[in-house]
Amino acid sequence: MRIAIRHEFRFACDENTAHAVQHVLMTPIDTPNQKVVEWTIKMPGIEHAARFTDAFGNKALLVSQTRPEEDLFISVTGVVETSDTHGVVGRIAGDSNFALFKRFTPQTRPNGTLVNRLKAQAKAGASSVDLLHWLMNRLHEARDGSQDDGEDTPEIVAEDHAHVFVAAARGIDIPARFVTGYVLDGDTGPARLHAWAEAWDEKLGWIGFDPSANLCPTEAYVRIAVGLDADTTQPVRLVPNLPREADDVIRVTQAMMSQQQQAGSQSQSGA
Amino acid sequence: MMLGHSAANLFWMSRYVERAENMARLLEVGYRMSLTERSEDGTSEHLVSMLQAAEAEDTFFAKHETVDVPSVAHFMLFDTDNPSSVKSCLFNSRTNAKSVRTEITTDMWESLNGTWLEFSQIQPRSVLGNKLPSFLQWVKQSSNQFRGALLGTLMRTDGFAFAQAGGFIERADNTARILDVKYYVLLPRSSMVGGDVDIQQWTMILRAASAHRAYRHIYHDRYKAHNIADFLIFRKEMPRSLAFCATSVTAMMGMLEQIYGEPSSCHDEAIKMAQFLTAGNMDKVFDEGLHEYLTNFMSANNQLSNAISDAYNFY
Amino acid sequence: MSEKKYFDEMLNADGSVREPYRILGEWLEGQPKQALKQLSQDAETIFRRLGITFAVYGSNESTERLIPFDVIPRVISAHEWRRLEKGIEQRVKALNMFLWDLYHNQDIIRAGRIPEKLIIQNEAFCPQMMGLNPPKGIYSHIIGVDIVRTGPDDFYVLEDNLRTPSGVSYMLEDREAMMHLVPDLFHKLKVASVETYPENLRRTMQEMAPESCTGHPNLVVLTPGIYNSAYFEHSFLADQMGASLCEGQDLFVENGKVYMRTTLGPQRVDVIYRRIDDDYIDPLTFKPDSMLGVPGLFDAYRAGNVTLINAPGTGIADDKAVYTYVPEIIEFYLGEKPILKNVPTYNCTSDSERAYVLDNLEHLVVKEVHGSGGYGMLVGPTSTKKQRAEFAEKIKARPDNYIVQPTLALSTCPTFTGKGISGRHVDLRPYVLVGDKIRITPGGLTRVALKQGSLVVNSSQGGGTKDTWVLEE
Repeated sequence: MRIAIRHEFRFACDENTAHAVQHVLMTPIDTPNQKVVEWTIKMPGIEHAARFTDAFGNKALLVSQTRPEEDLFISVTGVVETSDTHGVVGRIAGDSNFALFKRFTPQTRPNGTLVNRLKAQAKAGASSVDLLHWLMNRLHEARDGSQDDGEDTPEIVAEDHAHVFVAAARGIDIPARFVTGYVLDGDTGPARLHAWAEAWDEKLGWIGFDPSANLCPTEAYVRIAVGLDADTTQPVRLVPNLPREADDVIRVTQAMMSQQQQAGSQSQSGA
Repeated sequence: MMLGHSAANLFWMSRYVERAENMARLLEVGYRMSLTERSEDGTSEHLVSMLQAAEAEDTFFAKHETVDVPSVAHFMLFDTDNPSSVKSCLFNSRTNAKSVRTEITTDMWESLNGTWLEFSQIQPRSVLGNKLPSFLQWVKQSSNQFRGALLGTLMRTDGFAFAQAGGFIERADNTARILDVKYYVLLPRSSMVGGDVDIQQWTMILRAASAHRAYRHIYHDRYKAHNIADFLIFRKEMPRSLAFCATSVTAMMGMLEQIYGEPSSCHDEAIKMAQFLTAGNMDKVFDEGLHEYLTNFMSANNQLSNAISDAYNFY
Repeated sequence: MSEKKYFDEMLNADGSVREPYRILGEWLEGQPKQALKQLSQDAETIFRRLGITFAVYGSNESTERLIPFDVIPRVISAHEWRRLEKGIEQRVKALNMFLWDLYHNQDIIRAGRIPEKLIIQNEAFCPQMMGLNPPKGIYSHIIGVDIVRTGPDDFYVLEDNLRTPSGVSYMLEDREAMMHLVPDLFHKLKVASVETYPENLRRTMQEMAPESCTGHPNLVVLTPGIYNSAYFEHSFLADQMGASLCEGQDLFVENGKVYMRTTLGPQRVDVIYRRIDDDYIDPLTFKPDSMLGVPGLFDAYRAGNVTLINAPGTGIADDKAVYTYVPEIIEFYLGEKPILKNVPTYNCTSDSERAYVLDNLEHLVVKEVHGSGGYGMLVGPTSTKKQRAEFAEKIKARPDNYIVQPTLALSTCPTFTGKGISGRHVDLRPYVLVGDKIRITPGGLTRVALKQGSLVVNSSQGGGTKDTWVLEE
C-alpha cells in the first residue's frame, strides 16, 4: 500500500537564544516491509544539517539555527510503500546489535507480576512468540478493564503500553524496542504520531506488536524510528527546550494510485 | 586571537581593579570633606554627593538612614550588597583573573590573590576609625602593584590590549563622575576668584585624582575652576584625564588592529571619542554646559565599552 | 602489626639498601639532621611561589589546597619499569579493543566470556555510543593505571581509570620542585624525564583529529569551570599544550560542527580533551538540565566532525565489577597471558563467596562498585567492629553493589615525617597516552599514605605525593 504523510508542527521562538539545536528522528528507513518512495523534511537550517546514523540504527539529523527570529516550523512530507507481513519486520541491514535492546531504562522498568507470569508460561513451554502475543493481549485487557485512561490522550496511552510491553519482554530476556511511526487515518480518529513495540525472535528477527491496538502492525503502519524508550526515539529533541505552538497538522492517507502511478511513470520515463 | 570570554575577563579584571581604586579615592575625598562639615542631623552632604558619584545612593539608602562616615565607609568598602564596594570589586577582579589564569602572569595573579586574601582577613571594625586613611592608601597601593605587574610582565598580545582598554574606560568613567558630582563648584561665576569653601572643594577634587601637586606644575597658578576642569578633561599629560584615557583606549584599539590585521567595528567610535576630546576646549564646554558635557561623555564612554564587547564577542 | 611483613622499596630484609636506591641512600645518609626539614619547607615555598598550584586559594574555598608533598623520591629501576611498561601497554591495548567490541559486535559476550547482563545493564555502559567509530578505533586516550606492589616482582593493578584520570599535574609539579630542591642528585642519577607529557598529550590529541579535519587541528580543554576541584590542572594542561581552556559556554554547535567564540568570531574546534563527566557534556543527548556542556556536541561527534577525548562510555571498561574480567579480556583479544596481576576479587552474589566474605571482613577491603576517591570503602584491618557490622548489612542488602578484595600488603617507601624518616605505604599511578602509538610517561604519580600504618593513599583521605624516579640504564 502506498501511504502519503504530511505532518506540520511548530515550536515557539525564543529570541534570547544564540544557538538552537535539534536532534531530529523523523526519517524512515527501508525495511523488509516498507520502502521509502520519497521523503522531505523542511525546517530552518536543514540544508546544513549533519546527517548520521544513531546508536539504534535510525537516520538522525542535527539541525541548528543561529539567533532564530521566527518560530521553528517543521514540515514533513513523504510517500512510503508498505506491505503486510503480519508484523514481522525481520532483519534490517546495518541494524544495531539486538542485545542492546535488553537494557532497562528509567522509562522501561519491568513490572514484577507480569514478568513472573511470563516466566511461568515460559517454563510451561510457551514459545517466545506465544509469550509476546499473550503479553499484548494481557495489556489490552487490562486497559479495557481500567477506568483511568479516560483523561489520557491516545498518544500517552500508546506510549505507556509500548513501555510496559518493552519492559516486560526485556524482563524475560527478550530484546525489545520502542517504535514511533504513523498509522493510516481510520475509524479511530484523526491521524497521529503513534508508538508501538518490536521484539526480537531468533528465527523471525524483529516482530512488531501494537499493544494499544492489540494487533501486529499491518500495512497501515509506517515505521519512523526505534530506540530503547520514548526518550531515545523522540521525533524532535531540542535545546533550548521550546514549547510546542498550536496543534500538529497530520494527514496520513492512502496515496491516490493514479497520482502515484503518474509520478512513478514520469520518474521512470527515461528507463 | 583568544576566546571572547577570556577577552571579557581580562577587560573586566582591569575595570574592577581600577574601580576598587577609585572607590577608595572617592571615599578618601568624602571622608576628608566631611571632617570639616557641620550639620544638624549628622548627615554629611559631601558623603551624599560622594554616594551619588559612585551611583550607589539607592542601594545605600535601602539599608541606612543617616549618612555618616562609619556607615558610608562600611558600605563602600565591605558591603557585598553594593556591587561597587571595594570588596565586591576585588572579588570580581580575582574571579575574572582566575578564569583567565593561563592568559595572565604569575605576578599578576599573585598580586590580585594576595590582595584578596589580605582583604578577607581584615575586620571592618579595625579600619573604620582613624585607621581609615591608611587603609584606603593600602587599597590604592594594591591597585598600583597590580598595574605594575601587568605593565612589567604581561606579553604585548591581544590580551594586554583588552586588559588595558578596560582599565582606561573605567578610569575615564570615574574621573567624569568625580567632576560631575561637584560640577557646580567649577562653574564660572561673576567673581572668578573662588572663596575659601570653593578652594577647599577644588582641592578635594584634585586630590581624588592624585593631581593636586601636578596641577601647580602645569598651570603655575593658584587653583582656578576653569583650569581644574581643563586639567581633568583635556590635558593629555594628566594620566587620569578624560583625554588621556580616550587616547589610550584608541591606542589599544590600534594595537588590536595590528595584531588581528583588520580594524573592528568599535575602532571608529574610539577614534571619534578621542578626537572629540582633543578638539574641544573649556570655553566650548562651559557654553554647552559642564554637566551636559560630562553626561554625554559618560554615555559615549559606556557605548564604547559596549561596542568593544560586541566587536570582540565578549559574553 | 609488625612493619616487617611489608615490602620495603628501599631496604632488603637484612637492612641493606636495594640497588636502585644506592645513590639516594648514600645521599640521605650524608644529609645533616635539619636538612630534610629545610627541604620540606623549601618545597612548600616552591609550590606557592612557582604558582603551579596557583597558590592556595582562600580558606572559604576549601576545595582547593596544596596536597602534601614528600621530598624523598620513590625510585624504580630500569628493569622494573620495563616490565611495568609492558604490562600497562598490554592492558591498555586490550581494554581499548574491549571497548570497540562492546560498542559494536560484542563478540566477547557472544563467546560467553563475560556475562551479558554485566555489560548491558551496567550504568557505565553508554547505549548512545553503539556503532560509533571513534578515530582510529581508540576510546580511551588518557589513562591512569593504579598499581600497587607487594614484593620484589609482585605488581597488582588496582584500577584502570579510563574516564578522566586526574593528578598528572602533580606528577609534573613534583618533578619541577625536585629539580629545584636537589639538583645535585639529578647529576648523580640518570632519571627518565617526565616533562614531555604535555607535548605528548598535544601530539596524541592531534593524531586523534577527525578524518574530516584538514590542516592544523584546533585543540581545546573543556573544563566545568573555576569551581571544579581540578580546575588548576585543566588550566595547567591547557597552558602547557598551548590549547584553549574552554567552558561549555565558550563552545557552540552550528551546522553539525563545533566552534569556539573568539575575539575574531567563530573558530572551528577539532579535538576536545573534556574534563566534564559523560552525563554533563551535552544536554541534547544526556542530562537535559546540565549547564556545563555544549548542546549538540555528542551528535557532532557522532557525525565525525569533532573528537572527544576520552570517548563517552569508557567507564564500562574500568567498572569495578568488570575489573575482575580484565585477565579474561586480555586473553580474549590478545591471546596473551596478563603481565600484571589483578587483585583477586570476591563476588558477593555467589553464596559461598559471600559467606566467606562476611566471616572474614577484618582481613578484607570492601569497595562500592561505583564509588571512587576512597569513599564508601571499608579497610578491614583498620576498621572498627561497628563499621564491619554496617558493611555486612550493606553487602547482604545489595551484594552486587560491592566488590571485596584481600587487604594487600602495599609496599612502604621511606618518607619524611617531620620527626625523621619512616616507611609509609605507597601506590603508583603511571599516566598513559594512546594515540598513533602508546606513550607511557616513565614513573607517574606516587601517592603515599602519610598516616602511619594507613593503607589509603587518596588525597581526599590524607594522602600525599612523591616524585617518582625511573632510572635509565
